[in-house]
Amino acid sequence: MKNSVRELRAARSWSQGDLAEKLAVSRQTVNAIETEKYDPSLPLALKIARLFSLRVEEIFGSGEVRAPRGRDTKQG
Amino acid sequence: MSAIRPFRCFDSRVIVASLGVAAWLIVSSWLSRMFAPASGARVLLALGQVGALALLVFAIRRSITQLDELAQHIHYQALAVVAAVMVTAIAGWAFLERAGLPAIDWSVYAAPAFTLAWAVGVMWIARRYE
Repeated sequence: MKNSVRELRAARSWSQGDLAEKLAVSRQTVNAIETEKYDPSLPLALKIARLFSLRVEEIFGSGEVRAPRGRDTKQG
Repeated sequence: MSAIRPFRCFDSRVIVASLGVAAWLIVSSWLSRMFAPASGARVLLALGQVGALALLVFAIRRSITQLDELAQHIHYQALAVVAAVMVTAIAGWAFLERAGLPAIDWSVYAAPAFTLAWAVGVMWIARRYE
């Protein structure tokens, strides 16, 4: 899944190690998320969003969220 | 590239527990030969072996949960793949045995085969995230 973690981190001049420390994960995990090889769990995604004061969907997905096929998605 | 180290869960505590369980399995196997098959003492020793293995699994699982998210993910993926492979291998070999191939004592070989396949699986899956 596309994400903007690398850009957000770079904008704050943090190293991967700094971000890893703030998120209480390994630097390898941060690297795998930034290179889009690993999608974080929901708790970790929420933690990242809170850290950057953004919503999860502003960091992850880049508008790729779609309604499930074959379901009525009309509201009201 | 940054190396992922999922084997950090095998710390000194897990290694000591593994060696303890191995020692108990050897000693209890030796002791059980002194008793008649299906005797109470022999069954009790066998239950002790099962309990020791269960404790080791619990200790390893606990150690894995101490790892960070990605390393845990790698372990669980590897365990799922290895479990599927082992079930297929054991069930598949049963068919081959019926076809006349030699019998394999899985009570001896299942644990080492599982451990080896798990280690290979972890290394293989970890490469995807580097």
